Amino acid sequence: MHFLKYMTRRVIFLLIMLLGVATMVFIISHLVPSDPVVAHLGQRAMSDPEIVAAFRAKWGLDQPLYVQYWRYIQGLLQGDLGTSIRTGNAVTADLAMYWPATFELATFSIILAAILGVGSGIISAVKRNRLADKITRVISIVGVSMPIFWLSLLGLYVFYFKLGWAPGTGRISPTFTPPADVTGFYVIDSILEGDWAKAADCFSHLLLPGFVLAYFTLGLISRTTRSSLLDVLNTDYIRTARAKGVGSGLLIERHAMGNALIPVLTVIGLGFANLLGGMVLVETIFAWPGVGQYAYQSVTSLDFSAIIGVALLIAVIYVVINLVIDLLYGIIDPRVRLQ
Amino acid sequence: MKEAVLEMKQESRLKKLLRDFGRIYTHNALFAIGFTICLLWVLVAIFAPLIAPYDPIAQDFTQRFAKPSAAHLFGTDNFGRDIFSRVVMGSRTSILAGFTTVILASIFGTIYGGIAGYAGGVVDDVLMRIAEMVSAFPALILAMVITSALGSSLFNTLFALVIVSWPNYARVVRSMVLTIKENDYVAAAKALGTKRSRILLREIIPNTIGQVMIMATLELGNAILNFAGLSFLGLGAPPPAPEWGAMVSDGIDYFFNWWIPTFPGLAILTMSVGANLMGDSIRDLMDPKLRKNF
Amino acid sequence: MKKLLALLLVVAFALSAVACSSQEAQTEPAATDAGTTATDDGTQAETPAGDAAAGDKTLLIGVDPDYSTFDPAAAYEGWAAPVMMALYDTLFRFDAEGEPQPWLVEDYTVEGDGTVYTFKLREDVDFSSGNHMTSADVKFSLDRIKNLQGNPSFLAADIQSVETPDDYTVVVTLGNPDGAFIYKLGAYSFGILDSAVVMENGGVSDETAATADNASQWLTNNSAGSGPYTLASYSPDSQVVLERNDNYWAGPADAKTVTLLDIPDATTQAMMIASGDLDVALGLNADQVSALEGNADVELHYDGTLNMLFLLMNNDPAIGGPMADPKVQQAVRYAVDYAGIQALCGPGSVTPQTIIQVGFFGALEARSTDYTDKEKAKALLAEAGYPDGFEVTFSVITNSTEGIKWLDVAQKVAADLAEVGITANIETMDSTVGYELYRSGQMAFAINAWGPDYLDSNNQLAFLPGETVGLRANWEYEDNPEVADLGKQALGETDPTAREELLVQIQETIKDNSPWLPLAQVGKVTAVRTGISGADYSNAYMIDIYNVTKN
Repeated sequence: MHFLKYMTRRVIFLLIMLLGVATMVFIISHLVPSDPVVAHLGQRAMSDPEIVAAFRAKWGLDQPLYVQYWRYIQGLLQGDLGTSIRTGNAVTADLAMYWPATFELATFSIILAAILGVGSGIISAVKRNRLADKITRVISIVGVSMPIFWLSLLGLYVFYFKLGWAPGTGRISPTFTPPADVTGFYVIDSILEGDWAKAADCFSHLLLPGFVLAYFTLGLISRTTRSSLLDVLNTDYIRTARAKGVGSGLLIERHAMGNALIPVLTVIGLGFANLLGGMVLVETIFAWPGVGQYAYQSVTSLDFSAIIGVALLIAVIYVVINLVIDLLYGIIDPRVRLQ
Repeated sequence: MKEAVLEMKQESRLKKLLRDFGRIYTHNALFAIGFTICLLWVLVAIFAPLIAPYDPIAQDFTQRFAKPSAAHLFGTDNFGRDIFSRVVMGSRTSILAGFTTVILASIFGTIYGGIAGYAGGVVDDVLMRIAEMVSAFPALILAMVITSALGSSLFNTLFALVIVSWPNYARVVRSMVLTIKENDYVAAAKALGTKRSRILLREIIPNTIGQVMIMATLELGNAILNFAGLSFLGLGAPPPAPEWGAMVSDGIDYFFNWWIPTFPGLAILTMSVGANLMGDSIRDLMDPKLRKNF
Repeated sequence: MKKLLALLLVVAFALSAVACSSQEAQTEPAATDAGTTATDDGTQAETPAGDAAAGDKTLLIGVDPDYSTFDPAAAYEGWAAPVMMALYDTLFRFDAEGEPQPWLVEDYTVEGDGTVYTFKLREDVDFSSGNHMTSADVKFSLDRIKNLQGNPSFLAADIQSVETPDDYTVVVTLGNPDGAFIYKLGAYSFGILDSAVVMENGGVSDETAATADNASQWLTNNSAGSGPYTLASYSPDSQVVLERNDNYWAGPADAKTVTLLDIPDATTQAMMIASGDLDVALGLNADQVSALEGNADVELHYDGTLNMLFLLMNNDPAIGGPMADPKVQQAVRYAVDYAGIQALCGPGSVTPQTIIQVGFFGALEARSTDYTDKEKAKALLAEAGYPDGFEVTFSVITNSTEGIKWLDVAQKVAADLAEVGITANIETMDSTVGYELYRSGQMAFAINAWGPDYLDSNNQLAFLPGETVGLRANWEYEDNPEVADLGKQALGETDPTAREELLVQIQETIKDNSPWLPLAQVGKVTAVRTGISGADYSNAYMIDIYNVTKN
């Protein structure tokens, strides 16, 4: 019962927040002292009052701001995010097209980063201040210290250009036709089609951008795991357990890891959200047709509906991630009550 | 009377900190390396005009794309400017901007997250939802609004960076506070009737500082990079003044003339690695539970 | 999310040229590199996998495109040209010298003082749908571009009527004589649509088109033309796939499938063509292809373009301050180091003396790099009352033209001006904000770029006093009525000799007296794998896909 109440409140908050995000983005993007007209019309057309008027009328830009806002919110309540001026498609359709590419890459990267990050963090904590710890720490520190676009190009240069281990850019080689859209994940969809060669090709395209993104994130996860685990290993109950003769491996597994996981989870959640941001550049360099590129293009062309659409999508993801993390807190550490 | 005691206590804390610093510097190699790197960069920034052999903005089209040599240690860029001089002079803007952003964002984020986590209930919900809203905000738009509304300046750029980076701190701190406040000593303080604000500031927030420091040090390199990215949009240090991140991002276009993006990139990398190594160890230093393990 | 900030911004430059209103609408024929023929040394280009039998060739082209629609009456982006010219035929087509030659037209006559054009159409043209092309399709297409009120509508604005006396005759009546009309008809915007198919999908061509037409979206994902290719698929920010029209009336193209891959990053493109994963790379910059020089499998072509970077010195003293003084404007002309600017703009770049680019009909020859004279500049500044120079804000939109960053060129200009005492403080801004200021004539001193809308000098007369672009520098009609009138005269002149005389007269008058300073027409580098021929850069079409063959 308590849980149900909690969830209801979170969902209500989610809705209020989405409205808030939409409103904020709407107001702020309209505050920019420029005009979608200049972004979408050519040098000649933008000086022709008739064409400008037709353009404004077509996109409802001739209405007072509050009317535009009201129309937008009305549409939003019906699940209509409006139409992108740039692409001419419904924003929901655009997002549905761009999102799977981003989601596939981000999911792959965060899994990689979580495995490598938590693993190296545990090694670091257990072997604290020994050589293994120092090497792990330096490797992960270098990862977070590298400009990600530099790392991307370096990765492409070494593993694609020089060594030829990784395929070029994009989600799939031009020789294959993209798999039919079931999950939106090319690898999974290819497997569903039973085409293992295609699945392998798509997977190989994931590797390089996936590792670049993961390397960037795993440092954060590794370091948080290490420090969090160290905290827990020094608490009284662990020392008691140790005094009782519980072995080191078992100690980590049974007693320490659960409590240490809380900050780690937060960081993984943040990491995932950050990945979505980091995608913009990686998507550009690896020519990955995802939400990052869509967002960038929308912002540079003042495509209001698309900008708000992306903001809402990211907001929903944020909220869902945070909700999941909060729920996990409750499971891992019963002392943290759901409030 | 009470204040005098407090002062004494603080003084002894400072002394203890210095003593710990000496001990950690001599015993912890990674800290020593990180600290030395950072110190070197700060010194470079202070004495930059004395170190730089050339005017960092002087163009020389007869020397475009010169490879690293004795005349140009780090080579020259597409304007024939000396990259070594630019890296040295650029340390001033980059380091200052990085530190300022991280310090302001972490202070604000910590207090904000601390209040949210400790207060709990509706306050927590509202505060964290606001933080999420800010996180979810397309930062590019925000940056553009700031440029066009306030005009472009160093201050406005830092302002924009702080605005978009504080929610991360707030969230981590809040999640830690949720755990910390369930601890016995907090319960004990509460039972003794200690004021809530005092519990928060004295008992809870100090216990989050380790994590915040880690985040802050990790963010330092990012802050330097972010700052650079903003200059493209008309925020930040206007060209031709040298600045590391901008040098890397511009230099990426000349990837095959590797020295152009590489040296400023290495400057960011070393500064960031130094700060990170130091941050890890400072955390150890500041965490009372770990201190006895040295 | 915080990283989104940095990263968005960091990419900003790489991408910022596109998607905004700079409209480098490439429409020129130009200096195509004569030496770029197929190498016949027998080296088989390393072709991408999947290149099977000879009849099944695939062609992979790397681009950093700006297109978002393939509706001829709505598209206006420079990179739409190669796609549009593969999908649609135009009445006239530009040859290698940049002259429009009859294409769908067999023959034509001009009457009524140059206002009535009678076109006799080819009778052997079928659309890819199988429909036969008639004059009704031409009328539909011309009416639609005029009435849709889109970006290219101004090209057709002066068309008064389109008549179809019979199935293969079209009579177009203009409101005023237009010496450039045939040049305009060569632009892809005048691609001839299969009217039956377009109407089936919501197309409207009459006066209500601006609101009633619903075909644009359909035309973005499908094609309805008679061109050598059809649009197989368009995945925004990913790729455009073209499928050969085997029944093309002028003979089928060489490659069965052509894929234009979106690869925004130039360095990535360079690596891909070096590795053989691309046949043609169009998104490279001259300065970053050093890795490709000396690669036996890749040929590099350096060409000039008609895309011009220029300085704006506002003519209104209230806005431009000292920059409004003609003496100061001339001092700036003397202060700029043109050789250095051209070095930044890549091999193939030249500096035109005036607003009419080198390569255009009636253009003056290029400005000599010896023109630079810092002493004269200082003397002029002193004469103008600024012996110690002055400070001015230099507005720079973070944009780029063919990979040349405006900010880079601006830094060079600022350094040159500093040598004569002018302190130009660079103020950078995003394009959406910057273009608004530019359009409304509020920039005191700025750098900007111009790509012609159609391949004729008339297009450039917009820079004259009182005209669209002239007003952006607050160069009013009254400021120089003589030149303004000459410009109007030139627009209506259809006799080539008289037109050339007028154009030369205009240019001689303003070359050292105007708020404009053309800096350079930027260079363009194209990389192709050996075995590919016909991929030369063309000002009209960027690349004419129909002509590309693969060995």
